[in-house]
Amino acid sequence: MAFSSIIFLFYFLPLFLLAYLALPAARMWVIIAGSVLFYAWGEPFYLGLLLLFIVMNWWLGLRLERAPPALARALLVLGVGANLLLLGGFKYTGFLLTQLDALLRGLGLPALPVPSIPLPLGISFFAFQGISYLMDIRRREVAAQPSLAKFAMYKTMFPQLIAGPILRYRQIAHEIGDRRIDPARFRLGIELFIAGLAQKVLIANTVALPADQIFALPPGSLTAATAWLGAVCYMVQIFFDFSGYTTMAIGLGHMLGFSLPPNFNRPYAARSVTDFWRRWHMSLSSWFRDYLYIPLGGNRHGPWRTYANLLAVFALCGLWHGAAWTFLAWGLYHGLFLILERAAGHRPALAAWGARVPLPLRHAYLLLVVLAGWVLFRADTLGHAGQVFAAMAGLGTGGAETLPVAFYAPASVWTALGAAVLMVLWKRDPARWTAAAAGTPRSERGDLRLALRFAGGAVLLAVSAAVLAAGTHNPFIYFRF
Amino acid sequence: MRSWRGPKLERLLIGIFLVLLCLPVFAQLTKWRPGGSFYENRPPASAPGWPRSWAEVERAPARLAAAANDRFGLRAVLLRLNGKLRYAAFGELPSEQLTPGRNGRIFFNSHHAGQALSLIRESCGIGLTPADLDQGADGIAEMLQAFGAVAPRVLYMGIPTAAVLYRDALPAWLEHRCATAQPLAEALRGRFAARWPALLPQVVVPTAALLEMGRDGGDPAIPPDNFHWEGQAGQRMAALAAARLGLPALGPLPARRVSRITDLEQFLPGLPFRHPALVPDPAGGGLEFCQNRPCLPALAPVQPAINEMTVAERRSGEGPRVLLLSDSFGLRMADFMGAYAGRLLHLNFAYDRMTPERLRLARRVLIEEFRPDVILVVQHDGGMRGAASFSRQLLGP
Repeated sequence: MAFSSIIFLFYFLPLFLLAYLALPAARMWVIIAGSVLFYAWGEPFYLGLLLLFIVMNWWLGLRLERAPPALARALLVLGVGANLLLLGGFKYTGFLLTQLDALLRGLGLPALPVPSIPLPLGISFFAFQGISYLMDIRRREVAAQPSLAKFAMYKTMFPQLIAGPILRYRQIAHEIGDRRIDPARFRLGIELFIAGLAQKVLIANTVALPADQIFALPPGSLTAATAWLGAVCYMVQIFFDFSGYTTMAIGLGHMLGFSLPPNFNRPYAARSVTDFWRRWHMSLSSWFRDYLYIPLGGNRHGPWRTYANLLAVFALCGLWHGAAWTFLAWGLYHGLFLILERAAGHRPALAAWGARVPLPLRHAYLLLVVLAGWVLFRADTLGHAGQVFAAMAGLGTGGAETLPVAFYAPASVWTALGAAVLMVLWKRDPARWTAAAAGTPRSERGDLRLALRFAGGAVLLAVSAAVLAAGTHNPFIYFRF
Repeated sequence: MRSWRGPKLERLLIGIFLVLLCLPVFAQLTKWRPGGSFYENRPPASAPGWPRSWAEVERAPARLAAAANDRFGLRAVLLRLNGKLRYAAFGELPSEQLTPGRNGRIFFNSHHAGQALSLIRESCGIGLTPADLDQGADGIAEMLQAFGAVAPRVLYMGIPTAAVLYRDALPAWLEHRCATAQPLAEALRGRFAARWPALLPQVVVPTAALLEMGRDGGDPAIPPDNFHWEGQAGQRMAALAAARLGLPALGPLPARRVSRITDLEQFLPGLPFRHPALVPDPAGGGLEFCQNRPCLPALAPVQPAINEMTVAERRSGEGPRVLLLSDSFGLRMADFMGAYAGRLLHLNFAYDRMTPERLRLARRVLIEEFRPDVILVVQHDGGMRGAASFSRQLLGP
């Protein structure tokens, strides 16, 4: 059930919020019940698996906390291994078997049966949550949660269950038993939810249409203009889709009294790939930093080991996004640029030259690198990506069936792209989105501003709902009789 | 957990948000339907019953979501809002099957969702090979010969649609694309002339006559907001067909101008475009007239496969029996064809809903019992390459 669906917006969410507000003594159970229903809606078959891993991580956390060091280490290995097995088993078995099958066929050996394994929703998120929970307990950074129900609430909480941000237990441990859900915070949650919905529906969905159409074209029929348009639209789509969804999740979190961590900080305003990864999918990049890069040695063992660590982390980061060569290539591609930037930083002459490069050029460099990365990410195969790159380089001639840019990008698409650029340039203070800021006393003028902002939000909600409704309409011309 | 407290404004705003979210469910439960409803190319999804197996449990969420999408309260209001906003803000139309052109003209570009521009490509003749044209021409000949065996006079009229008639109103890139090809209707007629010269008098492609309309400030053959032509064109084309068939007018058929809503209404929620239309006064012309109702009791079992039907009968009973078989372009012509017939039967069948039994019954009623003096087949350019299906379906292969 996507947040930007009719069933969520007009059925699940109002019923859930009414129950949550009407039953203050049972809010934890309302969250659990709502979240289980939310998950079961998409994956009834895997609900048992989710619950099993909740119990397993909770039990291991308790044992781990009290175990002597040797046993604790074994329990940690067991817990992390189980979470990785869960992730690997469902996400990568099919991919690995397909590669093995291709290899065997290439050697003239009998084919290997490749089972089709449906992927449990949100598996990458809840596996990483489980790992961070156990590792944080082992590091004594957080106490294990003694209540299975409270732990289940953390693990299943629907706002972040299937698309993040990757919420570490220690980030909200203090709110599990003592949540502040005053009206100011609830209102802030509403504003964020609507802002995220509008990002997703009005910007991401609008540019998704040309992106999907262009990436579905036979590569031979691409011209340079259409290829660039497809890549730019996808670049905007993926950010506003993911950022919109995360903003909705953070808003829902505030309504429930939880502070979900921010996941994006104007990533396309970055000035280098290194800077980009401090701003993009921050809950994932910080997870890899804390639980993989630093344990691997980070940058503490010389430049070559640092480069190797970076490459390993970004290869895994790519694979985390999906089991395909394109994702692996995307991860390695970013890792390579991080290494290049780090290596350049180590050479004083290069670093000094880099510092003198005008800011717009640095932005342009970052945007080009990221844009090319998204082509790798979006393409069906590496070959497909190569053909899109070739078209972008002006080597695509198009064909008789090729349609011009004007067909794919009517005024609404250009408007969405323009709005996206403005939003990327607009410097917002993330501190405004915290519960503490929401509770700051206001003047009368502040009240008026708030009411006007809320009225604007209501209009955005209505417009987003209208656009969503349009997606359900399937008209027919032969209607007369 | 601290208690729920805060200033009144915050509570008011939260209340408004919750009311907004609950409105659709409220409207659905109370059957409050502002904004009416829309016809669609499928029945709206229904909520599934209580699941009786695990497979049904797994399917239930998707089915419930589909039912919610089709039936949520205020859907029509939101669809209209989307149409209005999109048009006002961007000049765009809320369906991929419509292409906004210049001078306010709207082009219906495809009969099916997911095949954008397919109709315009076909009408403009883009991508057609000589073999395609030969096959289409032979199909028209086959149809004329087959109907010629059961009726003394047969005429086929192929109608060029708006993309051909008003090419200069297409978006510039599409106009350029159309200009690279020969319009299908004319191209087919050209191939037909070369392959079947003896049958050529039985084929009419009235491009020039249709283009002439609207030149002197009068109504164009196809109103800017319509897919189909209007009565003005229907009246002229009926006269043209009658002249070609040698059918004299059996009396005057008065007509009046009305304002009619666009026939693309279902694609344009919230945008009720209107245009002037000429409608006949059959009673004033001495005709018993029945349209788009079950006008022929004998065809009742075929009714589910009939898109449109017209029966016009001269009270004096004199005049030829005319059978007008058509696609949706026949309707406005049928309005006026009664002026040249003692009895006119007009049918637009949905052949995909025909069964062998229904076809047998239609054949018996329309061919064996009605025994038409004239068979007139009217079809727009989007279907001309399949003209043979008219006779293949009704008469059998």
